[in-house]
Amino acid sequence: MKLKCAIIDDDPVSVKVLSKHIQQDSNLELVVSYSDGESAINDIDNHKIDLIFLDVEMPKMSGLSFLSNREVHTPFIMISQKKQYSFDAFEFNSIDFLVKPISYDRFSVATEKVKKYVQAESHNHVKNDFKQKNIFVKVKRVWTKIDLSQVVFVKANNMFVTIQTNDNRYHVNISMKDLLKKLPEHNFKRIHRSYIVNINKIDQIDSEVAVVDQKTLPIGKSYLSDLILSLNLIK
Amino acid sequence: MIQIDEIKQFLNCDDQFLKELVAIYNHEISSFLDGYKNFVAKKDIDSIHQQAHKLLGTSKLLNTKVLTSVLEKLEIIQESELHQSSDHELIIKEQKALLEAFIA
Repeated sequence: MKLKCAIIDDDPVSVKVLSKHIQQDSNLELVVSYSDGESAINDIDNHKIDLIFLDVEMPKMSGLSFLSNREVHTPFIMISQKKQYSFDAFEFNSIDFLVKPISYDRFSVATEKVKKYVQAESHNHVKNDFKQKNIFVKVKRVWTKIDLSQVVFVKANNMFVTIQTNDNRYHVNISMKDLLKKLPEHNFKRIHRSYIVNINKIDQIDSEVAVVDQKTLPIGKSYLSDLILSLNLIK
Repeated sequence: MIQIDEIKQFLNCDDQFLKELVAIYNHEISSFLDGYKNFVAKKDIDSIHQQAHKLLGTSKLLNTKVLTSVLEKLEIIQESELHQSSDHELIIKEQKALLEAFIA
Protein backbone atom coordinates (compact mmCIF):
# COMPACT_ATOMS: atom_id res chain seq x y z
CA MET A 1 0.00 0.00 0.00
CA LYS A 2 1.26 3.47 -0.89
CA LEU A 3 1.90 6.05 1.80
CA LYS A 4 -0.14 9.18 1.11
CA CYS A 5 2.10 12.24 1.32
CA ALA A 6 1.54 15.95 1.85
CA ILE A 7 4.08 18.73 1.28
CA ILE A 8 3.93 21.97 3.26
CA ASP A 9 6.47 24.36 1.73
CA ASP A 10 6.29 27.88 0.29
CA ASP A 11 9.12 27.37 -2.22
CA PRO A 12 7.72 26.11 -5.55
CA VAL A 13 11.12 24.77 -6.65
CA SER A 14 11.43 22.74 -3.47
CA VAL A 15 7.86 21.46 -3.92
CA LYS A 16 8.67 20.39 -7.48
CA VAL A 17 11.80 18.55 -6.39
CA LEU A 18 10.00 16.78 -3.54
CA SER A 19 7.09 15.91 -5.83
CA LYS A 20 9.49 14.30 -8.26
CA HIS A 21 11.26 12.37 -5.51
CA ILE A 22 7.90 11.11 -4.23
CA GLN A 23 6.81 10.16 -7.74
CA GLN A 24 9.98 8.10 -8.19
CA ASP A 25 9.22 5.97 -5.12
CA SER A 26 6.59 3.34 -5.87
CA ASN A 27 5.62 3.21 -2.19
CA LEU A 28 4.72 6.90 -1.99
CA GLU A 29 1.95 9.01 -3.46
CA LEU A 30 1.66 12.81 -3.33
CA VAL A 31 -1.89 13.74 -2.37
CA VAL A 32 -1.74 17.45 -1.58
CA SER A 33 0.66 20.35 -1.12
CA TYR A 34 0.30 23.64 0.77
CA SER A 35 2.36 26.82 0.59
CA ASP A 36 2.09 27.61 4.31
CA GLY A 37 1.12 26.07 7.63
CA GLU A 38 -2.11 28.06 7.92
CA SER A 39 -3.60 26.57 4.74
CA ALA A 40 -2.47 23.12 5.82
CA ILE A 41 -3.86 23.28 9.33
CA ASN A 42 -7.37 23.95 7.99
CA ASP A 43 -7.41 21.22 5.38
CA ILE A 44 -4.92 18.43 5.98
CA ASP A 45 -7.31 16.28 8.06
CA ASN A 46 -9.52 15.89 4.99
CA HIS A 47 -6.91 13.76 3.23
CA LYS A 48 -5.93 10.85 5.53
CA ILE A 49 -2.24 11.64 5.10
CA ASP A 50 0.42 9.07 6.12
CA LEU A 51 3.51 11.29 5.81
CA ILE A 52 4.08 15.06 5.86
CA PHE A 53 7.11 16.89 4.45
CA LEU A 54 7.18 20.08 6.50
CA ASP A 55 9.28 23.15 5.74
CA VAL A 56 10.33 25.21 8.76
CA GLU A 57 10.48 28.80 7.48
CA MET A 58 7.27 29.84 5.74
CA PRO A 59 5.10 32.98 5.68
CA LYS A 60 1.83 33.20 7.66
CA MET A 61 2.52 30.09 9.74
CA SER A 62 5.92 28.43 10.05
CA GLY A 63 6.44 24.70 10.30
CA LEU A 64 7.21 25.05 14.01
CA SER A 65 3.98 26.99 14.63
CA PHE A 66 2.09 24.33 12.68
CA LEU A 67 3.45 21.67 15.02
CA SER A 68 2.78 23.80 18.10
CA ASN A 69 -0.80 24.58 17.04
CA ARG A 70 -2.05 21.06 16.59
CA GLU A 71 -1.46 17.54 17.76
CA VAL A 72 0.34 15.87 14.87
CA HIS A 73 -0.08 12.11 14.95
CA THR A 74 1.02 11.72 11.33
CA PRO A 75 4.71 10.90 10.80
CA PHE A 76 6.53 13.91 9.40
CA ILE A 77 9.93 14.91 8.06
CA MET A 78 11.08 18.46 8.70
CA ILE A 79 12.97 20.24 5.93
CA SER A 80 14.91 23.49 5.94
CA GLN A 81 17.80 25.29 4.36
CA LYS A 82 19.26 25.83 7.83
CA LYS A 83 20.90 22.97 9.70
CA GLN A 84 20.27 24.81 12.96
CA TYR A 85 16.64 23.61 12.94
CA SER A 86 17.72 19.99 13.34
CA PHE A 87 17.43 20.41 17.12
CA ASP A 88 13.80 21.55 16.75
CA ALA A 89 13.17 18.57 14.49
CA PHE A 90 14.47 16.31 17.24
CA GLU A 91 12.34 18.09 19.86
CA PHE A 92 9.16 17.67 17.81
CA ASN A 93 9.89 13.97 17.06
CA SER A 94 10.42 14.45 13.35
CA ILE A 95 11.38 11.11 11.80
CA ASP A 96 14.26 12.74 9.93
CA PHE A 97 15.56 16.20 9.07
CA LEU A 98 16.41 17.12 5.48
CA VAL A 99 18.54 20.10 4.52
CA LYS A 100 17.69 21.79 1.21
CA PRO A 101 18.58 21.20 -1.53
CA ILE A 102 17.45 17.61 -1.07
CA SER A 103 19.17 14.93 -3.12
CA TYR A 104 17.24 11.85 -4.19
CA ASP A 105 19.65 9.61 -2.26
CA ARG A 106 19.16 11.51 0.98
CA PHE A 107 15.41 11.61 0.40
CA SER A 108 15.42 7.80 0.01
CA VAL A 109 17.27 7.35 3.30
CA ALA A 110 14.62 9.46 5.07
CA THR A 111 11.66 7.69 3.52
CA GLU A 112 13.14 4.27 4.36
CA LYS A 113 13.11 5.38 8.01
CA VAL A 114 9.44 6.33 7.63
CA LYS A 115 8.55 2.98 6.10
CA LYS A 116 10.23 1.16 9.00
CA TYR A 117 8.45 3.42 11.47
CA VAL A 118 5.05 2.80 9.85
CA GLN A 119 5.65 -0.96 9.80
CA ALA A 120 6.57 -0.95 13.47
CA GLU A 121 3.55 1.17 14.36
CA SER A 122 1.26 -1.09 12.39
CA HIS A 123 2.71 -4.14 14.15
CA ASN A 124 2.13 -2.50 17.55
CA HIS A 125 -1.37 -1.53 16.53
CA VAL A 126 -2.27 -5.09 15.59
CA LYS A 127 -0.77 -6.30 18.86
CA ASN A 128 -2.83 -3.75 20.77
CA ASP A 129 -5.91 -4.72 18.82
CA PHE A 130 -5.61 -8.26 20.08
CA LYS A 131 -4.89 -7.08 23.62
CA GLN A 132 -7.90 -4.77 23.87
CA LYS A 133 -10.83 -6.79 25.12
CA ASN A 134 -13.14 -4.26 26.78
CA ILE A 135 -14.36 -0.70 26.71
CA PHE A 136 -16.03 1.24 29.49
CA VAL A 137 -19.14 3.36 28.92
CA LYS A 138 -21.08 5.52 31.34
CA VAL A 139 -24.45 4.05 32.28
CA LYS A 140 -26.42 6.12 34.80
CA ARG A 141 -23.22 7.85 35.96
CA VAL A 142 -21.39 4.56 36.45
CA TRP A 143 -18.57 3.37 34.21
CA THR A 144 -19.67 -0.01 32.96
CA LYS A 145 -17.51 -2.59 31.25
CA ILE A 146 -18.54 -3.97 27.87
CA ASP A 147 -16.78 -7.08 26.67
CA LEU A 148 -15.95 -6.30 23.03
CA SER A 149 -16.42 -9.91 21.99
CA GLN A 150 -20.07 -9.49 23.02
CA VAL A 151 -20.67 -6.42 20.85
CA VAL A 152 -22.71 -7.25 17.76
CA PHE A 153 -23.03 -3.85 16.15
CA VAL A 154 -23.23 -0.12 16.86
CA LYS A 155 -26.02 2.03 15.48
CA ALA A 156 -25.91 5.81 15.13
CA ASN A 157 -28.81 7.84 16.47
CA ASN A 158 -29.17 11.59 16.47
CA MET A 159 -27.21 12.61 19.53
CA PHE A 160 -25.78 9.27 20.63
CA VAL A 161 -24.92 5.77 19.50
CA THR A 162 -26.48 2.49 20.55
CA ILE A 163 -24.09 -0.36 21.27
CA GLN A 164 -25.88 -3.65 20.77
CA THR A 165 -24.33 -6.61 22.59
CA ASN A 166 -25.53 -10.22 22.75
CA ASP A 167 -27.64 -9.45 25.81
CA ASN A 168 -27.84 -5.72 26.22
CA ARG A 169 -28.15 -2.35 24.60
CA TYR A 170 -26.16 0.74 25.71
CA HIS A 171 -26.82 4.34 24.67
CA VAL A 172 -23.61 6.38 24.64
CA ASN A 173 -23.12 10.06 23.94
CA ILE A 174 -20.31 9.87 21.38
CA SER A 175 -20.02 10.22 17.59
CA MET A 176 -19.58 7.15 15.38
CA LYS A 177 -16.24 8.52 14.22
CA ASP A 178 -14.90 8.93 17.76
CA LEU A 179 -16.22 5.55 18.91
CA LEU A 180 -14.62 3.82 15.94
CA LYS A 181 -11.24 5.23 17.02
CA LYS A 182 -11.70 3.54 20.42
CA LEU A 183 -12.48 0.13 18.95
CA PRO A 184 -9.86 -2.36 17.70
CA GLU A 185 -9.59 -1.74 13.97
CA HIS A 186 -8.92 -5.42 13.38
CA ASN A 187 -12.40 -6.45 14.58
CA PHE A 188 -14.70 -3.50 14.02
CA LYS A 189 -15.62 -1.97 10.65
CA ARG A 190 -17.95 0.75 9.61
CA ILE A 191 -20.32 -0.67 6.99
CA HIS A 192 -22.72 2.26 6.68
CA ARG A 193 -22.89 5.84 7.93
CA SER A 194 -25.21 4.55 10.66
CA TYR A 195 -23.60 1.18 11.44
CA ILE A 196 -20.36 -0.27 12.79
CA VAL A 197 -20.23 -4.07 13.03
CA ASN A 198 -18.10 -6.61 14.84
CA ILE A 199 -16.87 -8.52 11.79
CA ASN A 200 -16.68 -11.74 13.83
CA LYS A 201 -20.46 -11.57 14.15
CA ILE A 202 -21.17 -11.34 10.41
CA ASP A 203 -22.94 -14.46 9.11
CA GLN A 204 -23.57 -13.42 5.52
CA ILE A 205 -22.95 -10.45 3.22
CA ASP A 206 -23.74 -9.43 -0.30
CA SER A 207 -23.07 -6.10 -1.96
CA GLU A 208 -25.93 -4.35 -0.16
CA VAL A 209 -26.55 -5.95 3.21
CA ALA A 210 -24.83 -7.86 5.99
CA VAL A 211 -26.58 -10.38 8.18
CA VAL A 212 -25.23 -9.92 11.67
CA ASP A 213 -26.54 -12.10 14.45
CA GLN A 214 -29.81 -12.65 12.53
CA LYS A 215 -30.29 -8.93 11.86
CA THR A 216 -30.00 -7.52 8.36
CA LEU A 217 -27.98 -4.29 8.21
CA PRO A 218 -27.37 -2.08 5.17
CA ILE A 219 -23.88 -1.73 3.64
CA GLY A 220 -22.99 1.72 2.25
CA LYS A 221 -21.33 1.61 -1.18
CA SER A 222 -18.30 3.58 0.02
CA TYR A 223 -17.67 1.11 2.86
CA LEU A 224 -18.02 -2.13 0.89
CA SER A 225 -14.46 -2.49 -0.45
CA ASP A 226 -12.88 -1.86 2.96
CA LEU A 227 -15.25 -4.40 4.54
CA ILE A 228 -14.48 -7.05 1.92
CA LEU A 229 -10.74 -6.53 2.42
CA SER A 230 -11.11 -7.18 6.14
CA LEU A 231 -13.00 -10.47 5.66
CA ASN A 232 -11.34 -13.74 4.94
CA LEU A 233 -13.08 -14.40 1.60
CA ILE A 234 -12.30 -17.55 -0.35
CA LYS A 235 -13.64 -17.22 -3.88
CA MET B 1 27.53 28.10 -15.08
CA ILE B 2 25.16 25.29 -14.10
CA GLN B 3 26.83 21.91 -13.58
CA ILE B 4 24.13 20.01 -15.39
CA ASP B 5 25.35 16.45 -14.94
CA GLU B 6 26.07 16.90 -11.25
CA ILE B 7 22.61 18.32 -10.60
CA LYS B 8 20.91 15.64 -12.67
CA GLN B 9 22.70 13.00 -10.64
CA PHE B 10 21.93 14.80 -7.39
CA LEU B 11 18.22 15.00 -8.17
CA ASN B 12 18.04 11.79 -10.20
CA CYS B 13 16.34 13.71 -13.01
CA ASP B 14 16.62 14.40 -16.74
CA ASP B 15 17.35 17.55 -18.79
CA GLN B 16 13.68 18.38 -19.23
CA PHE B 17 13.00 18.35 -15.50
CA LEU B 18 16.02 20.54 -14.85
CA LYS B 19 14.83 23.09 -17.41
CA GLU B 20 11.38 23.12 -15.83
CA LEU B 21 13.00 23.68 -12.47
CA VAL B 22 15.07 26.60 -13.70
CA ALA B 23 12.01 28.10 -15.42
CA ILE B 24 10.08 28.04 -12.13
CA TYR B 25 13.07 29.56 -10.37
CA ASN B 26 13.37 32.32 -12.94
CA HIS B 27 9.73 33.15 -12.39
CA GLU B 28 10.38 33.35 -8.65
CA ILE B 29 13.30 35.71 -9.24
CA SER B 30 11.05 37.92 -11.42
CA SER B 31 8.48 38.09 -8.62
CA PHE B 32 11.22 39.00 -6.18
CA LEU B 33 12.56 41.76 -8.43
CA ASP B 34 9.02 43.12 -8.93
CA GLY B 35 8.65 43.63 -5.19
CA TYR B 36 12.23 44.45 -4.32
CA LYS B 37 12.23 48.22 -5.02
CA ASN B 38 9.04 48.55 -3.04
CA PHE B 39 10.51 46.66 -0.08
CA VAL B 40 13.60 48.87 -0.19
CA ALA B 41 11.51 52.08 -0.44
CA LYS B 42 9.42 50.97 2.55
CA LYS B 43 12.53 49.69 4.36
CA ASP B 44 10.67 46.41 4.72
CA ILE B 45 13.67 44.40 5.83
CA ASP B 46 11.64 41.36 6.92
CA SER B 47 10.17 40.86 3.44
CA ILE B 48 13.61 41.13 1.85
CA HIS B 49 14.97 38.56 4.31
CA GLN B 50 12.05 36.18 3.65
CA GLN B 51 12.17 36.46 -0.12
CA ALA B 52 15.94 36.09 -0.28
CA HIS B 53 15.74 33.06 1.99
CA LYS B 54 13.15 31.50 -0.30
CA LEU B 55 15.41 31.91 -3.35
CA LEU B 56 18.58 30.80 -1.66
CA GLY B 57 17.96 27.05 -1.61
CA THR B 58 17.65 26.79 -5.37
CA SER B 59 20.61 29.09 -6.04
CA LYS B 60 22.68 26.66 -3.96
CA LEU B 61 21.22 23.69 -5.81
CA LEU B 62 22.07 25.26 -9.17
CA ASN B 63 25.48 26.19 -7.78
CA THR B 64 25.13 29.81 -8.98
CA LYS B 65 27.82 31.21 -6.70
CA VAL B 66 27.36 34.91 -7.52
CA LEU B 67 23.60 34.78 -7.02
CA THR B 68 24.00 32.74 -3.84
CA SER B 69 26.42 35.29 -2.45
CA VAL B 70 24.02 38.21 -3.08
CA LEU B 71 21.05 36.32 -1.66
CA GLU B 72 23.03 35.39 1.45
CA LYS B 73 23.73 39.08 1.99
CA LEU B 74 20.09 40.00 1.44
CA GLU B 75 18.91 37.29 3.79
CA ILE B 76 20.52 39.17 6.69
CA ILE B 77 20.76 42.70 5.29
CA GLN B 78 20.35 45.58 7.73
CA GLU B 79 18.49 48.83 7.11
CA SER B 80 21.78 50.75 7.10
CA GLU B 81 22.98 48.65 4.13
CA LEU B 82 20.00 49.32 1.89
CA HIS B 83 21.92 51.97 -0.05
CA GLN B 84 23.56 49.04 -1.89
CA SER B 85 20.18 47.80 -3.11
CA SER B 86 20.59 48.88 -6.75
CA ASP B 87 23.93 47.00 -6.98
CA HIS B 88 22.25 43.87 -5.65
CA GLU B 89 19.35 44.30 -8.04
CA LEU B 90 21.70 44.63 -11.00
CA ILE B 91 23.61 41.45 -10.10
CA ILE B 92 20.37 39.50 -9.66
CA LYS B 93 19.15 40.69 -13.07
CA GLU B 94 22.43 39.59 -14.69
CA GLN B 95 22.18 36.19 -13.07
CA LYS B 96 18.56 35.88 -14.15
CA ALA B 97 19.63 36.55 -17.75
CA LEU B 98 22.15 33.70 -17.50
CA LEU B 99 19.46 31.36 -16.25
CA GLU B 100 17.18 32.41 -19.10
CA ALA B 101 19.96 31.54 -21.53
CA PHE B 102 20.18 28.10 -19.94
CA ILE B 103 16.46 27.45 -20.45
CA ALA B 104 16.68 28.62 -24.08
